[in-house]
Amino acid sequence: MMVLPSLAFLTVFVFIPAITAALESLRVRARDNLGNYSYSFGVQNYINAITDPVVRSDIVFTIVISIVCVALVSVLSYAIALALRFGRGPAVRVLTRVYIIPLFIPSVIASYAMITFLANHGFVDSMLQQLGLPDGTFPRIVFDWKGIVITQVWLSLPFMTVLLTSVLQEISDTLVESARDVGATSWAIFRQIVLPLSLPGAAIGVTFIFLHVLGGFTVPYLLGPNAPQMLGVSMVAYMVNYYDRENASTQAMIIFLLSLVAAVYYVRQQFKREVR
Amino acid sequence: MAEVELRHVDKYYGSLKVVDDISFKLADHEFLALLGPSGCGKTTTLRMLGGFIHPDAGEILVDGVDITGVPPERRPTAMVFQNYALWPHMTVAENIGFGLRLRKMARAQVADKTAEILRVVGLERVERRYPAQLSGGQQQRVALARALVLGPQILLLDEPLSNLDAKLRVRMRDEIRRIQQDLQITTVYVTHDQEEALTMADRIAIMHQGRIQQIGNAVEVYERPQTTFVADFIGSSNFFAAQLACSNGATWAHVGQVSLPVEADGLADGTRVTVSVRPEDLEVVTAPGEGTFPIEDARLVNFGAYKRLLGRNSDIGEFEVRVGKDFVLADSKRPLYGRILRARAFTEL
Amino acid sequence: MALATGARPMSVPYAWGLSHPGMRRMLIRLLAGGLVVFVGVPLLTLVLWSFAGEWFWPAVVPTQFTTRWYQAVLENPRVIDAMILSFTIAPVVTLLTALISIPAGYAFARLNVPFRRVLLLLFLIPNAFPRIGLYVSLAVLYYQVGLIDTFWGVVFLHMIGTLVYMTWITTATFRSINPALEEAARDAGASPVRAFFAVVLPIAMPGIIVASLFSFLASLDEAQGTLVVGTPHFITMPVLMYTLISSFERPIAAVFSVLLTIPSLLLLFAAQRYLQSEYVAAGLGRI
Repeated sequence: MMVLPSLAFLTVFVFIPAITAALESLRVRARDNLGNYSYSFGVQNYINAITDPVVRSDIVFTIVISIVCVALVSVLSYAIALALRFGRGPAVRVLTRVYIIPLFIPSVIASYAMITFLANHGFVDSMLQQLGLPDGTFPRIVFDWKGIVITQVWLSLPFMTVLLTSVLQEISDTLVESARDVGATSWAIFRQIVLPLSLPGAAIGVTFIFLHVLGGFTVPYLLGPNAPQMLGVSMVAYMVNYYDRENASTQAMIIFLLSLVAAVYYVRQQFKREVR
Repeated sequence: MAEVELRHVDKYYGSLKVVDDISFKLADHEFLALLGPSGCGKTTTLRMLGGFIHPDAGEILVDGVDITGVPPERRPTAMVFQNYALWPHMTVAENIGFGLRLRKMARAQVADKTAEILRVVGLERVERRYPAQLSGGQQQRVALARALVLGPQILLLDEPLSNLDAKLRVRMRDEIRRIQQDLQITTVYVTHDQEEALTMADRIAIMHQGRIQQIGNAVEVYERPQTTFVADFIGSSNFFAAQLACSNGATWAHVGQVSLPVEADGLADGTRVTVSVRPEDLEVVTAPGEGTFPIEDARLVNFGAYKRLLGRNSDIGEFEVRVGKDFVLADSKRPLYGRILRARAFTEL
Repeated sequence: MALATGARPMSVPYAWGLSHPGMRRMLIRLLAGGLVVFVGVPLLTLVLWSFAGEWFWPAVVPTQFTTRWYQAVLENPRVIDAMILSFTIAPVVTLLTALISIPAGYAFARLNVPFRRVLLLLFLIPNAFPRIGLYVSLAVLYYQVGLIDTFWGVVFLHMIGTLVYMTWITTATFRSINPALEEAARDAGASPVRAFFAVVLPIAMPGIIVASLFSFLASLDEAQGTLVVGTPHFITMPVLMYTLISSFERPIAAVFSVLLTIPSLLLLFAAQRYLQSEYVAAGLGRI
């Protein structure tokens, strides 16, 4: 059958590693007084992860950052998509050309660009300096959660905007015109017509961006603080620095389980649309 | 140019039987219309003829040869699809020439045949255009040309005129029929429009819920419908319940005060029946007489070329009578009476 | 909600805020301007750095411009190797992904519904598992089977990301093609295979090209997994970036960024035709 090669590939390269990670997360390492290691099956790793203050704060940090990123991207993308859908004039043409650019910039480069742009003594800092801002008052953005958020928003913008644009395309002009006809303000039209109709499609974008940021590595690695860390970074540290496969796998599984919630939601949304 | 036969063909979608024991035989050169409301199974039947759907039971034969298992590319059929299915990335010439080039025909020959078939369907100088640049009517002709150019033995048409406006539809109807007769191709034509079926086909098969209710020519299905569905679907009919009384070779139907002779095709005395009366087989008179019944609540509806009088009778119920366009209702105090000139009786109730 | 008489309500407030067309235009202009700054200036900064002869705090632009960094980079054998590797791996990845996902996408598009849902789920799971976690586990696996630090090891890792995405888009593209077009081809005498190549594939081509474009870019961009699996011998351009960023040679890293971005931007301009929102959104937003 035609699907076999892709299934085979996925099995080998995705399912096996994923299952391996799952199994490893359940492998609990104990050390006795003589320094000997023994392994057993159990959920102790998960309990450790949740009770350990460092790991716990990492988990919370990861979730909060992901939510913040998604919220900001949604607002910004909606603004752009609405302007593209209902706006006119040269400014709209500019928007059309510009919003898609981050899609073509590799995340490593985007991260680096943001570093030079937003670092202390970086571009923005020097601009503000020229305008009279005293040295040292520029807030820490790079190597801070703000850097992660700004860069992830920057990178996710095209994807969400394209998605919203296509969703808004399906809202016919006559729907908006009839609302205007009875006297609705633009804000009312947005809140009561555009938003409800576009939300199912927008939810898909939200899901994907949430998953993407939740499990991200490059951006938080290059731009994030040392503590708290996003789980993607700490997982690699555990693996590469401490050779602690069990805890690294546990953190991967935690991200996976969090992602599953969002993924299940996406799949159910899809089925609802297909039934329709 | 071939005989087509379907024998006891069934098709299920899940547990729903969409085609139920369909059998018919088409003679060579014959034009058969599959007529019925949407969902009656006519398109499914056509697609089984074309080879796109496989029947769950029964056989399909062409010239006596069983082709039930033969894939579409090897069948002697050619189909004109409902939305034309013209390939958007090919020009008109390429669309038509596709099948010819598959058969390794020489370029020059392909061009000749293409030009010729375009002339047959009444299109000129469109070879280099793309389907998107054509009007609906032109696209329809290209679809027809594409099917015909291969010289198929059987032509299948799936509601080809449903996307055209009324006047164009009438014109294309005559064209298709003319082409079919010129080329003498055995044709199966699916439609939900009875006018198309009545004007174009040699025989009409009326389908309902997967079964064929009746096959016959236009006169047969109109004058002698065999079921209430056919009587209602072709033309229009008034229906009411009655009881049969047979005596001296004459069959009458009685309900309340109303009695009338009916065509009952051998039904027994005393049978409960549904009587069907066409609006044009009723007349309106101003005085009671032999076989008349009173009309209450009379009102007129104007159809331009004729009018309809809507009325009610306590035994018959609501009914319609077709009257001339100059008919007027005199003052409302004057009583009116109706008389049935011709009626049929069915056992379905 | 429409008024029965068709008269306009007398109490319509004078349009203000978002309803006022002038205000709207200004807001859109602000948005456009803001976006240009937000998107463009960071990239501009990199370009400036790549030409920076002398640039010290707190100057806003370099005080001296030079091209010596470009020379240094383009003559550096490590850089040349990384570029060649990246541009070798990306086409291989794209081609293999296309070969695998086009039939799969077609099968999904024409397959029966219940089966399809299960397989859909199966294809979505890779997206839910954090990529980096997957790569790390994969690295362990690679080590056991000897795929670590190999060309094909890197290629297969790239394909994980591209395969899911590309199958998704090809499925959506094939689904949007009316099956009657294929039936008409078969009716004219074409075998199913012939019908696919003569009718389905040409019509699906724009969508497939868009998807391939993104696969190509994704492969060029792939850093985190390649870092884990390709060292020390298979260093692609993005992986080299990692080390350059930490080594603090700002102009060198900037030059490198510009070089790495050029192919992407070239593809962007070349594909303007295909990048209408219907095609892209068709893949991204639907399945």
